Amino acid sequence: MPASRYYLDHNATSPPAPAVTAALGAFLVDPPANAGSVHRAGQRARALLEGARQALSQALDLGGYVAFTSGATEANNSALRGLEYRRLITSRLEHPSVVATAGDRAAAGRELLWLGNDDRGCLDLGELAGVLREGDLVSVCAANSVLGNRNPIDAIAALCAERGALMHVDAAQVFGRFECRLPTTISALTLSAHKAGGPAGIGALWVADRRGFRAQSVGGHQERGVRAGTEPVALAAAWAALLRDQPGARWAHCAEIRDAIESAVISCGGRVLGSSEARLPNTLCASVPGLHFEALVMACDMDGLEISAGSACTAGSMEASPVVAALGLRKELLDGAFRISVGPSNQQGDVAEINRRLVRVIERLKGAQA
Amino acid sequence: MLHAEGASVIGVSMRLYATAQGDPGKSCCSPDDLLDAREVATASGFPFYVVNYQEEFQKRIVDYFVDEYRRGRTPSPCVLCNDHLKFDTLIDRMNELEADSLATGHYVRTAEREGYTALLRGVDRNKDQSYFLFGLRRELLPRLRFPLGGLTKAQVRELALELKVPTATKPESQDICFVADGSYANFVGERLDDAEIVAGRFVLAGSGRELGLHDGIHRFTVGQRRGLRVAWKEPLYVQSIDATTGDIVLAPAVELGVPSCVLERCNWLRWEQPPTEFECTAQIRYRHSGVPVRVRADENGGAVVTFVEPERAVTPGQACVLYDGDEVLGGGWIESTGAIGVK
Repeated sequence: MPASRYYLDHNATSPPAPAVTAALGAFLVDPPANAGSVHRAGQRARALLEGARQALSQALDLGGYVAFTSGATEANNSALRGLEYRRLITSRLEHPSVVATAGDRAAAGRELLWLGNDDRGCLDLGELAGVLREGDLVSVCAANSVLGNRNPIDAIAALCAERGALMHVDAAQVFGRFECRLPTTISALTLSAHKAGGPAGIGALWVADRRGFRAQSVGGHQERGVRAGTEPVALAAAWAALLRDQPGARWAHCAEIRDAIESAVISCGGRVLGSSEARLPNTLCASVPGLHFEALVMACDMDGLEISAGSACTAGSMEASPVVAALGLRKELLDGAFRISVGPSNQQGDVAEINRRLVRVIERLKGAQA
Repeated sequence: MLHAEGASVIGVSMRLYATAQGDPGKSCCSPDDLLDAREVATASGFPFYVVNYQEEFQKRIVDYFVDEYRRGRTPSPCVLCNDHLKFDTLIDRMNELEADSLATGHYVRTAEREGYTALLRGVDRNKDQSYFLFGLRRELLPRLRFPLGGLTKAQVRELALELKVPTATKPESQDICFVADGSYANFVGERLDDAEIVAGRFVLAGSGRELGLHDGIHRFTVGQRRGLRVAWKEPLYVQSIDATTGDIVLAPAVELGVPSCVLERCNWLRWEQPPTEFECTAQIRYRHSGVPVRVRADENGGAVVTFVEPERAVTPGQACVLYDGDEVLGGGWIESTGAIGVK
C-alpha cells in the first residue's frame, strides 16, 4: 500500500482549519459552561455564543436571525418543517435531507412539486416561472454537492419575490468556501461548518423572520425559540474563529488542482458530468464509460486516493448517487459516476502524483473489464 | 483469521436488498449489519467496503424465486446467489482489485487432489454448506479460501471471542435471507398478480378423487404434510404439483417414493466431464442426510439419478448434489422425477 494518501473528498467533509483546531483544543482544556446558566461562567459562555452568532450574521449580512443546529441536515429538516407555506417546490437534485423531508411533508398531505432538470443537472427555470404561485416555498441549493453545479439563486429569488413565494437556500457547499452573494429576499438559509473546515457537529439555520417559525425541537427557549437544546458553545466559537480568518482564501487554489485532475480524467476517456457553465471550482463529477464506480472507488482507496461515489452513504455502502440518477443519463454513465472534491489540504505539488495514480487505476480497471 | 495470519485482507460486504433503516432485520443486509461488519474490519485494521448488488439480486435471485413457485416448483435461491453473485460478480471485483484469492465464511473446505482442487463438506456436519456451492466454476476453486470450514460453529465463536471480534456473540442468520417473516407463501403471494395465482384441487393419487380445494400452488411443496387441511383416513403428503391444471396430487407416505430423477444444468467439480456412469451419494435438499444412487450423465449437462431405494420428497426446482464421502462431485437441478408410486 502506498505510504502517502490523498484526501479528495472535501465535499463530504473538509478537515478543520488550523484556527479551528486551535480553538477546539483550547476549549477541551477550558470548556465553556452552559450558555443558559445564570452565573458568571454561564455569562462568559453566553458571550462566546453570541459572539459566534454575530460573526455568522456579519458574514451573511442579511439581517434576520441565525440559529445554531447540529448541522446542515437538521437545518434543512427544520426549514422545510418550520416555515409556513402552501406548496413545496424542490428538485431531486437536492441533498437527501431536503428530498426526504419533502417526501415526508407530501405524505402528510402537503402539496409537493418536483422541478425538472436537464441532463447536466440544470433546473428548468421556465417550468418554475410557469407554476410558481403566492405562498409556495422553493427550496434549492446554492451549489450541488455531487455535481458542483451552482444554481441561479439570484434569478430564482427574484421570481419568488415577484410572485410572493418563499425561498429556502441550502448553502452548505458554498458558505465559508466560495464567493456567493446571497439574495436579500430569501426566507431561510442552511449553513454547514465542517464542509468549509469548521468543526463537524454544528451548522445553522438562518431565518429572515423567526416569528411564526415552528421549532422542531421544543423544551427550552434556546435560540430564541427556533431550536431547543443546550447550545454547542465551543463548536460555535470554533466555527466563528474560522469565519474571522478569511476562510475563502484557503480554497482559492482549488480550481487549478481540480482542472488538472479533470484533464487527466478526460484523457482516460472520462466524461465530466454537471453544468458546463457554473460549477464549484473544487468539484469534479465524472464517469468513465464501462467502469463501475464501485470498483473505481475501492481501487482508488487501495491506491491511496480517497474519492467518493457521489455521496457518503449509510454504513459506507456505495449506491449510485440519486443526484446522478436524476440526470437521466444512460446506464453506463450512471454506473461509472464518481466524485473528486479538492480542498485546502491538497497542494499543487501533489497533482502529478494524484494524476499518475488515478490514470493507472483507470487504465488497469479498463484492462480488467476488457 | 486470515488477517491474524498475516494475509493482506480486504473486507467486503454485499448489500443484496434494502431493509428499512432502523429495522433490525434478521439477516445480514440491514444498515446495522453492515455497520457491524465495518466495525469488525476497523477493529482489526483492514480496509472494508460495501458493494451494492441490489439490482442484480432482485433480477437473478428474487425474481427467479417467485417464478419457480409460480411454476409449482420449490426454488433454492442460496445456490444461485452463490453462483451468480458471490462467486461471479464478486470475483470480478476481486480481479479488479488484483486480489489473489477470495475468502468467504462458508462452512466448506477445499483440498488439493491430483490435478484438481476438491470441494469438501465442512467439518461441522450440522453447519456444512457444500450443498449450496455445487455450482461453482471448478477453475475458481484454487483461488477460494474457506477459513471456517475446518472449524465447528462453537470453535468459531470461541475464536471470535479470542480475536476480540465485536460481533462474537451476534445471533446467526439462517433460512432464506430476503423473506422477512419466514413465510415464503406470503412473500411469493404478494409478488404475484391475482391472475398468476393458480388455485385448484387436491386430488388423491391413483383414484384422482377430489379431496378439497386450495388457494394457490405457490403455497405448497412436494413432500409437504402440514397445512393441507384435507380429511382422510391416513396422513397425506404432496406427491406432485401440476402448474397447468392447479391439481395438487396427495398420497400416503408409502406411495411417495420415486425411483429416480432427471437433472438439468449440471455442474461438475471433480471432473471437467464426468464418467458416463458412476455410484455416489446424493443429497436432494439442504437438510437431507444423503442416499446412495447411481448416476448416468450425458454431455449436455443432463443426468439421470437412480435411487438405490425409492426416495421421498424429491422436489423439482431443488438442487441434487452428488458426493463421494465428503467430496462434492458436482450436481444439478431436479427437473422431474421418475414414475411415481413405486414402493
